Amino acid sequence: MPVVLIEDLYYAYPPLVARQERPALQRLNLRVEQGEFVAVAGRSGAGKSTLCLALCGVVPHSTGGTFGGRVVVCGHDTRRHGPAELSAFVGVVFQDPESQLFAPTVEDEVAFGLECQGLPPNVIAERVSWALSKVGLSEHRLRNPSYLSGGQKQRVAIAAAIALQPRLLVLDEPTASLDPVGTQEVVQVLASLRADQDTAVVMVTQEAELIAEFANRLVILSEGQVVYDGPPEDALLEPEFLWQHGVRPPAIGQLAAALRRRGIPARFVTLAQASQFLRLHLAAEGKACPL
Amino acid sequence: MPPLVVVEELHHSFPDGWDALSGVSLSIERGEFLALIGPNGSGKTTLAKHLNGLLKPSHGRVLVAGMDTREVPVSTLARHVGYVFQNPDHQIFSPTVGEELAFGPREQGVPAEEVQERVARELEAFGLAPYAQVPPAVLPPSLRRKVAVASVLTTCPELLILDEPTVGLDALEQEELLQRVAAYRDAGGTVLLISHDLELVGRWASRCALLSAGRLVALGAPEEVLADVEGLLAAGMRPPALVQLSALLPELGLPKRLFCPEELGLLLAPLFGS
Amino acid sequence: MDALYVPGGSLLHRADPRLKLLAAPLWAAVLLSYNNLWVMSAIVAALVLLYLACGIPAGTLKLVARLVAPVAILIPLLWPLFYRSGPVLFAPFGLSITAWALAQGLAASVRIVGLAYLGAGVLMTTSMRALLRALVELRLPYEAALAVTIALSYIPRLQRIYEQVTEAQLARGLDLSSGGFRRRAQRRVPILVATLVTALRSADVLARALECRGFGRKGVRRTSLFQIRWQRLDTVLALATAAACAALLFLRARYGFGAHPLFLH
Repeated sequence: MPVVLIEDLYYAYPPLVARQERPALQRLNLRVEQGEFVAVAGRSGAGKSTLCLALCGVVPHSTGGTFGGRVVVCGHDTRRHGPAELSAFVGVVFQDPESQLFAPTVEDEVAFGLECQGLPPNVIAERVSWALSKVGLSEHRLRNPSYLSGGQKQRVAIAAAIALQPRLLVLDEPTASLDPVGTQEVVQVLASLRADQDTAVVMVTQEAELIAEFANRLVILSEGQVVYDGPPEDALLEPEFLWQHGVRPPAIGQLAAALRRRGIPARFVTLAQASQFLRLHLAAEGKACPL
Repeated sequence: MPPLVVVEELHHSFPDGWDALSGVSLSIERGEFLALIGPNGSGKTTLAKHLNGLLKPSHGRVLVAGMDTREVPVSTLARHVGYVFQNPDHQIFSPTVGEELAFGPREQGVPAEEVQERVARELEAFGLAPYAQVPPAVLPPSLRRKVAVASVLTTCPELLILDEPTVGLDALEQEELLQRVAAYRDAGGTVLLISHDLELVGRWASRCALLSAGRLVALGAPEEVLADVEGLLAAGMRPPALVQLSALLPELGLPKRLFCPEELGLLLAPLFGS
Repeated sequence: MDALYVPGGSLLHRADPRLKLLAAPLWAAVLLSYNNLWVMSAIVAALVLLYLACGIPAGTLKLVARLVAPVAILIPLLWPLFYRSGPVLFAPFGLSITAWALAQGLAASVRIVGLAYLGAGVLMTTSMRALLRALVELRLPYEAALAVTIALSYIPRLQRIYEQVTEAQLARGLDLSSGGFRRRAQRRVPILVATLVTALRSADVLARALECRGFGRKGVRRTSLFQIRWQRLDTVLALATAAACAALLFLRARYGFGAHPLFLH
């Protein structure tokens, strides 16, 4: 059973003025299996956030609007199950670390979802410890989340989502509001999550580096429809295509494109791949820049 | 012509005792596009807030368009310095986009006709004309960001300060925004950009100031500051990817100062001769 | 969030928060029924000594005193002006300040201070988590406790947003210092609107986040990580408090003990 099965999804938010409704998502089909790490990219307004909300049931239960087709998450149809019920299977992390947190301590924040599930207190305590160690915040257990840095807050939000041990983890631009240090902290958590093969991850991001580093599949949305669904490398090697869909091509990828334009078959997208390629072809032969 | 901004031995200590800036000195010439970079807590925003008088120096002084910031109220400095904050929602309050854009110049006493001209110009430049009668609060985040920047540009500031303006924008929108900012600069404005995005900085800035723990540790052209791997690492910053690449392969003898993919490609291509 | 709370391991800290929430009103009832200056002062003094013994810093106790000071000082000053009873002490400007009325005023003042210290005592020795948990155990609906927790976390957040918005508007040339009161109040409108909208957006995200973590799930009984346990210590303290209060109330009711501000009978 796939973790996510979306068939012919159509969704339009309730219109603000009595104009024609503009669909946020249309004719959308998507299937995600256990263990996959899917990156979702696209221009602003392409429907990425709406897709995240559709995966956890907020769309359509909390947003109203017109909903067509179906979204089935872990065997549950989101038309018949609201976000609270789906929370046992889907964990969500939103973009703004500040707005997602409310509790007086980190521990309470992470425990909230488990308390809602009615788990016994000793199980809750265990899961909280586990989740906090997964995100590297064990020693901040009793701190007030409002005193943490952006990266730490976002990690608390991730811990709160994974504590429920969902089969699907949805992250909506988790690093967009963070500084480079915070981004690195979240990146480390993502790396440890990727290693965990029981969960499927769907991450909306515009950052090519994150896509290159973590995703084994890239989905690009445009005007509510899927325009690309395949290996990230193929897309990352096409700077024009990335630009068109709102993703800034990684500088490394642009270098590869510049070399390819001169007839050199360079196909690297990450720093590691690039240095490997260059070492292989140049340094080995003792070639160096003329001074 | 004297510089637009002169910062002399600026020290700033907050009431809780934290020393945010220690002896920063720099000047910003008219027509510059200066980027302020540095890790969180290095004092970038603190320094920027001195330029429109929101913060006053503990020691040293700051001159903006010849005025000493300690002697002039913020509202006066606001006529010369436009500050776009990180969160556009902190600025937005008007019932329509048009009103929002008109607020700044109106508050400064600009005659109504000219206010309308300026508003029309910025609506056009940012592609916001279809939304002129729409409440900005209901627009998506990327459009709200544009409204915020546009509403500062309608005040025709001499110095435009942008604090992380590209957060929440996709790549094309970032380009659009920076192009509008560059156009403002070409028309005679001066820009101070605070950003974490070193690639963006490398592309648009004419000069870079690197802050670390409240001190100015590097000031110069982007090719120099962004290529100084040791300097960036010492300041707690990760160098741009291509600079890291050059640093990883010293045996190739690459001149480290390159961070532009095209230039680097040009340099590497001939080496694949055989 | 825990403005007055001082963590510690004393008797009061370890006592069950439910006990504290029930004992405080009980002692408040004693204070409200008594009129005697000496008895009430003794209670207040005992409270202060108890708190000091439990490790509450003098500074925090002074803070509470400062908060209640305006009312506590005003009452004995105003009381004799409105009530006259007993021998006249002095008569400035044709008013007569009587001894019993002054004593009454002072007693009322001490009562207010006592009530403040009772309430503060609960807050100083109990964390917000414990308090809310106790209220829920005492049948307060969980949603109400959650609303309180969220509201408390929003207070500093709103303050931060307000400050940031004020800066952003000042930077646009908003002039807050000139003009009369009405104009200056009007000038605050942009700040209030932007603060409110930002806060509402934030609240919207929070609501979604909580829903996605399972809030509002029907058919499941909520549990809690934070547990409070009633212990033998609590039973002892409960009995002691109940006995003391019962005795004092009995004396007051049966024998009129402490009815008069200055005399014990």
